[in-house]
Amino acid sequence: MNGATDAETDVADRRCEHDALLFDSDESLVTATAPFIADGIAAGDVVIVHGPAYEVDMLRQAFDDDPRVSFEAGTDRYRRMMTTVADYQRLCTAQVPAGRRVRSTGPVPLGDDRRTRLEWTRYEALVERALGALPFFGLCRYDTRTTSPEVLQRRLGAHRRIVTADGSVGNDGYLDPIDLLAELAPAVAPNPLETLPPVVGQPDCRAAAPLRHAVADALHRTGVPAESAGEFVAAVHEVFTNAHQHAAPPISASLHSDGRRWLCVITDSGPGLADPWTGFDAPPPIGRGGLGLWAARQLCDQLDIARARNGTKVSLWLDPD
Amino acid sequence: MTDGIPRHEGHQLVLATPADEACAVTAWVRRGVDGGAKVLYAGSEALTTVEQLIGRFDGADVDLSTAADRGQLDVVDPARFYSAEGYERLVTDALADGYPAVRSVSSPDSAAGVLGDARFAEFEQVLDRACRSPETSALCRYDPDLASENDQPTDVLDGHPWGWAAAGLHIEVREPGRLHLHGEVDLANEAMLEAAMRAVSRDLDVLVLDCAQLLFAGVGAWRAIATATEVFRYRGGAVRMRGLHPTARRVLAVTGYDQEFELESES
Repeated sequence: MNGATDAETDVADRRCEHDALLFDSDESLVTATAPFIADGIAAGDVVIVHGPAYEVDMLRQAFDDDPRVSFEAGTDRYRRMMTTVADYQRLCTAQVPAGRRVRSTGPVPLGDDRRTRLEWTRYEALVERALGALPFFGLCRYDTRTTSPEVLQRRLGAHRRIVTADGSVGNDGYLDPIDLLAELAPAVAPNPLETLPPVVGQPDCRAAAPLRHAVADALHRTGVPAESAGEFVAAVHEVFTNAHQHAAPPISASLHSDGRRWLCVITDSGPGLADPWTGFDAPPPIGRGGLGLWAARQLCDQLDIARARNGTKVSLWLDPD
Repeated sequence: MTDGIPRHEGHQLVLATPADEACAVTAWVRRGVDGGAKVLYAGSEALTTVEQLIGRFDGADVDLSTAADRGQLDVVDPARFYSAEGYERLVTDALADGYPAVRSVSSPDSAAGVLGDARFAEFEQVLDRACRSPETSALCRYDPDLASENDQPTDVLDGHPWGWAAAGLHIEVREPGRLHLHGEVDLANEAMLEAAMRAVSRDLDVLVLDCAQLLFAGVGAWRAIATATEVFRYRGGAVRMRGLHPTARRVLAVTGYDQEFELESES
């Protein structure tokens, strides 16, 4: 890299690493995790240990609450998938000038239902792609006592190595992120929420403002917190704007709710995304396009893009709880 | 209103098609009517009576019938309106009649039968001179297609230094280097926002944007401001934002535009 410092070059040469850690007892958790933390401290990395308070406290004790480690118990670092990705991207980018790597270990949410389980499995598939060129080392912890074999098998496919109390081995079941994401592609078939009568229905949506206002009014009427509602409206706006600028009419929009969760579905007759990674990658340089979908993914709880026979369908989720 | 006088809004521009003119100028007209100002509407071949004007605003959030009944609202013959002597006389007469202020609505379209483009530009200078007086405010409606023509938007905006409006967004210059953004920004008005930012950031060190009344701004809004002020900021200028709503702050943060501008803390 022309003009790069030695520190920046050294860090840039190290690719993102993404391993899985399996444990089935308190002792195996500490034994398996200790080398990761110790190596990070020795290298001067930004070391993050997150997760449930019980696990974090165990590891905190094992390392005498070392001030060089950030022990984060019960944080919302993993509240929204794309926000987690973006936060790591920003954190890693900020470390590049100093030549430091970010090293993070903790559980990846299993998800409360099929949809969120799928979303966090996508996160695992995305890590290497979204953080590939950045100084990031992630060690994802899975308690084999409480993780279903089906979920575990799917999640392990995203990791190149598997770490246990006995050491580290290469993962023969590792899948290329593209292939793994393809397996996890959103279904075109309607979600059950879509079968409910729409709270907002605009079959031929031609401007963003009426859609924004209708969605905002619906959320406000039912008492959705203003902050959550505002971000969701912004996400809907960006998806509509994207369709308006790059896809083909008619663009239809509908908003559905089961009284707890909200689903906005926007469809168009366009050719779909040329690049399947659109909106997942780190933002392009300021002043150029491509930021809308990137932002939308972070402003709602989940965003799925499905390619239908006659167009594209984008589903945006809001779980105010 | 200030001390019983409708707030001086100077010489401003609104981008709207003839079909959308009534909707686009409603707020301007309402502020004049509510403030007790004399409202002068430039007539045209298609608009010759106050009754016709009231019909155009049917359904709008402004009571023109009462204003017309008491003589507060007039449709002025374009030949009289679009002359230096004519306009100045209209203002003088309205103030002599006891109105605390005068505000007008005009457009190149309505002037077409009386003035060509070049002479309308001269007439704009008449409006500009008149609006230096705190009693006079003037709004000019231009077709929004101008926002997409090379160089022309900036020239048009330069001629209306007090503010610009389009499709639900109003940008007001209340003092040099400080803009108030009212309404919402999206694809319908991002081009105007970018042109306005480009025009106003010349000859400044700091550009302050008061966003307390900015109810919505998508990614495109911040991109427009960043693009328009790229050279300004490269040369050391600062774009400072005040009164941002929480959602706006969040959008700025996730896009990284919060690193391009100075965001004042929430009070």
